[in-house]
Amino acid sequence: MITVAASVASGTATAESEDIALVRQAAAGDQRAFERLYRMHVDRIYGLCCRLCNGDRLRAEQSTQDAFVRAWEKLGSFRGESRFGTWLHRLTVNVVLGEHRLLKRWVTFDDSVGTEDESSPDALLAVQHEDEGMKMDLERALSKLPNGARTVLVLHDIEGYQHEEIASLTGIAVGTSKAQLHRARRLMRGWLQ
Amino acid sequence: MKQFEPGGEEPPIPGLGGLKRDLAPQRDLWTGIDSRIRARRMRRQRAPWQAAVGIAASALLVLSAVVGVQSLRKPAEPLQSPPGVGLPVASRDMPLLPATARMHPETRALVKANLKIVDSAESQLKRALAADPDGAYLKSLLDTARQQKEQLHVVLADAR
Repeated sequence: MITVAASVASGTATAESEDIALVRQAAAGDQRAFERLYRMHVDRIYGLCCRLCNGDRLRAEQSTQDAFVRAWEKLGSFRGESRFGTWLHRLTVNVVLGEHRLLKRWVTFDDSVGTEDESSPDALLAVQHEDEGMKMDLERALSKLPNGARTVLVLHDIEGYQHEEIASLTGIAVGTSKAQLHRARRLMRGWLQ
Repeated sequence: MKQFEPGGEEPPIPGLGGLKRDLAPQRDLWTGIDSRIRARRMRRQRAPWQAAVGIAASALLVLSAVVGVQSLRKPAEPLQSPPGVGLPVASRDMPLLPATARMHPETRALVKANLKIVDSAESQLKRALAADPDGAYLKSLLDTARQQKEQLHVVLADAR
């Protein structure tokens, strides 16, 4: 067990040092190095974009591209204080939600609870997990949540952000983030029972 | 139903943290990213180049204007213009320039050549300004080029 843990830790450290080396090369103008960073992180970023874009694959693709272009522009500001993956993840949240104050608009104006629609992008996302029982139920319940509540739930409970981070990245108040999370969990629990 | 109270948090939904977070896109998105990065890089590289071209064109314009002044002075001499008063291309006294009949064909060709240079400088400066809209020096060069163009047009109009 200890050997496995040590091996995982060693693998993570190797990946981090590879990231840092690639970031340096990319910041110096090496486009191939940036492509390697893209290949290493695209699944994580696209997965995040899919959730933030409510399962809309076209928007998720566009957001993923936007995020990587922005990352390339800001590579010089990456100081290595956090892992590159973490930096890229936060940047993506900011690109998708922060710039247009999307979450702020959602929590201000969009209070309606969604109805399940088999043809909606969310339903399509959920069908992928059809054989996964509980996961499918969770995905379906997630897809029914209002945009604001769902986004906060995704960022907090799935992606591991704190309310303060959500607030600073998206422009909503910490209290609003907490209220949205509470609402999302309550709605989800009601549907899953 | 339980209402939200600050400090009284609804407990997490079991299993949410275990949902899949990675998802491979259905198509390769790198091509689009690559082309956008290349376009941005080209714009960045072109901005200083355009400014340099604009400045060089302006310098050439000044040089051509000087040459033009020297050429225009010669036909003006028979009119006995006051001593020490030249007829520079860039001067505001263009209506006093000699009329067509008195303008030597070579002089007129030189004015037209100057006009082409000014046109070229103007378009290059416009492109440079599009890349660097706040470039004060480029703006002043563009103003100068426009003034010189206007004056050259006056010279040609008077020569008709």
